[in-house]
Amino acid sequence: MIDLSRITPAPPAEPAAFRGQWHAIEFQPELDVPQRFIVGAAVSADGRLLGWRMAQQANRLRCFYGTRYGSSLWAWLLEEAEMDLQAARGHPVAGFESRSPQLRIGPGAYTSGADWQSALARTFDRIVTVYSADRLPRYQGITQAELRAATNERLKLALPLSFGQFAQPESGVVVIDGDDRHVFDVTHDDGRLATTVVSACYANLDTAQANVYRATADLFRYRAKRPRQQLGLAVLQPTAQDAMPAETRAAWRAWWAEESYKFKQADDILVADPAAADGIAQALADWYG
Amino acid sequence: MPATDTPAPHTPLTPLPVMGGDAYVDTVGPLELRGANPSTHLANVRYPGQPRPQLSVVKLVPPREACNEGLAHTFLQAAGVPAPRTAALLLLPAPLAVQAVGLAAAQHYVHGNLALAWAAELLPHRSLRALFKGRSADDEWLRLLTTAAGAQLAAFDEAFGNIDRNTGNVLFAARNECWAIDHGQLFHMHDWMLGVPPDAGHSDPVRTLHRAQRGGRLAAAAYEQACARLVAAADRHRDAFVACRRAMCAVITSVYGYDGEKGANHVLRHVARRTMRGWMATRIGMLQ
Repeated sequence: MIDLSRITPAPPAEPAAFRGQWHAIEFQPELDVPQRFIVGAAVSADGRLLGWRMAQQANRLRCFYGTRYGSSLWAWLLEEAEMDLQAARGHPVAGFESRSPQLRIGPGAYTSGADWQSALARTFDRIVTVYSADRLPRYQGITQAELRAATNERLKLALPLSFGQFAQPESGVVVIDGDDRHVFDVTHDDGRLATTVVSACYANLDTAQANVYRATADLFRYRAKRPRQQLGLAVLQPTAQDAMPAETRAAWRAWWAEESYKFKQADDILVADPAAADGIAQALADWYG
Repeated sequence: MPATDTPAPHTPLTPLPVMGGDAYVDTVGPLELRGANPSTHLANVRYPGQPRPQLSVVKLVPPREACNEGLAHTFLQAAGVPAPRTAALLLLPAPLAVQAVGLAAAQHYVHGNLALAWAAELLPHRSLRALFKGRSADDEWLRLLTTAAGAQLAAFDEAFGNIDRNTGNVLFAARNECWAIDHGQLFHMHDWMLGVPPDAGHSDPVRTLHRAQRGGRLAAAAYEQACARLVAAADRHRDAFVACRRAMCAVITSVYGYDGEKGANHVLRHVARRTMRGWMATRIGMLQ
């Protein structure tokens, strides 16, 4: 007969005051595709939901789904999930049903800690895959693609009759030269004024600057191919709500002040540099109206 | 920690901790390519002196296998052989053990209201079996056995009668670097509480080398060099045993208490003989 009671373990460094179960909160973006992502963590005690934490951002979903799960949609999904979880607090986890069939709470596994909050924090850091707390997102607020889409939505309302005449495809302006096909990053062009809309809301100064350089280079080269009276450059400025650190924003402001001054010295270059998509749309409405 | 042909310094020994259920923090999930023990899984374990819980491989084990793991852990540390550095014996309440691995996996290991578990840090390397398909794993294992790193593993297995060395418990770290895990089946599974383990057959690494040489997969010169490396690795065993003898005794008595002292004597006499200088050369010489 084996007697394990004679074994004397060392006293615990951190006695566990809380013992319960951790659960993954899973999100299935496409109901006909069995792929789930862990978007949050929950803890339960005695089978009843105690607490949870959801990823406030899901940047990695963009790797798979592009702009379909952008910031605004994710914020809405989060809000719905929070309401469902609030309603389920204190109730059996096994019976959790979200109004959205895309969201579910996975089976539980043992967890312990000084309290349920520390167990939840540790579990969240370990299992949530759609967001990394160690890395700042590349951008926050609005991406270049989202900015351009939002600008066009506003322009359609402001200039419904002429919008179709100057808006260009999302992929850019295609120029056929013999057998070759070339794409220029020009977002709007009415034959007189060619414009590019750029987002500078990136965590990295180099990326933001490279975006501007690339956009202006394409504008000038496009004009060499198709002469235009004027060129337009609309650059969304980063703000304190964006991912760019404060010091980097200051460096950006200094750099942009110099660059935009040079652009504005040319009579045939229009420059707009607001801090919101509405401002971009307003500027373009003025230019094309 | 790649092996070289020069002797590795004996690292300071950390006594094997024995901890209770509070050290078992979270059940994480199943282990990829789990071995024969159905209770093997991943968990966060809080080890003494570590700032935060560490992701570990945990398995429920009977007392003798727990001791074997502890003995191997202690000796491999002393000998400087790459193996998990952070490990512990866990005494878990039965309900926790059942919750972690399920009743079917736990029931054979629960005695009274307790279950004994072995926990070791999860290493960032994968086993030969996980990395190399089919025969490639065997080929890679044979190649590693001809290196200094493989010789260290082979020497330990031969001295300690490990009958469970296979491509599933050799971790591939680099071309000439491998790590040893899973040491529950030492001393040819002899119950050393009953007496000194007998001298039994060769361990898998030595048999693998010999089979390869006889089958023509390993040239005679390469075989001789591999044997020479194995003997050279075993030359360090004596000093390592002297350094960790007391710690090995402590492992056995921590599990078996006073009753364990007799068993400890059996094991230590056995290991002392097999780590003597010249023992491996004679042992390997029997094959040539």
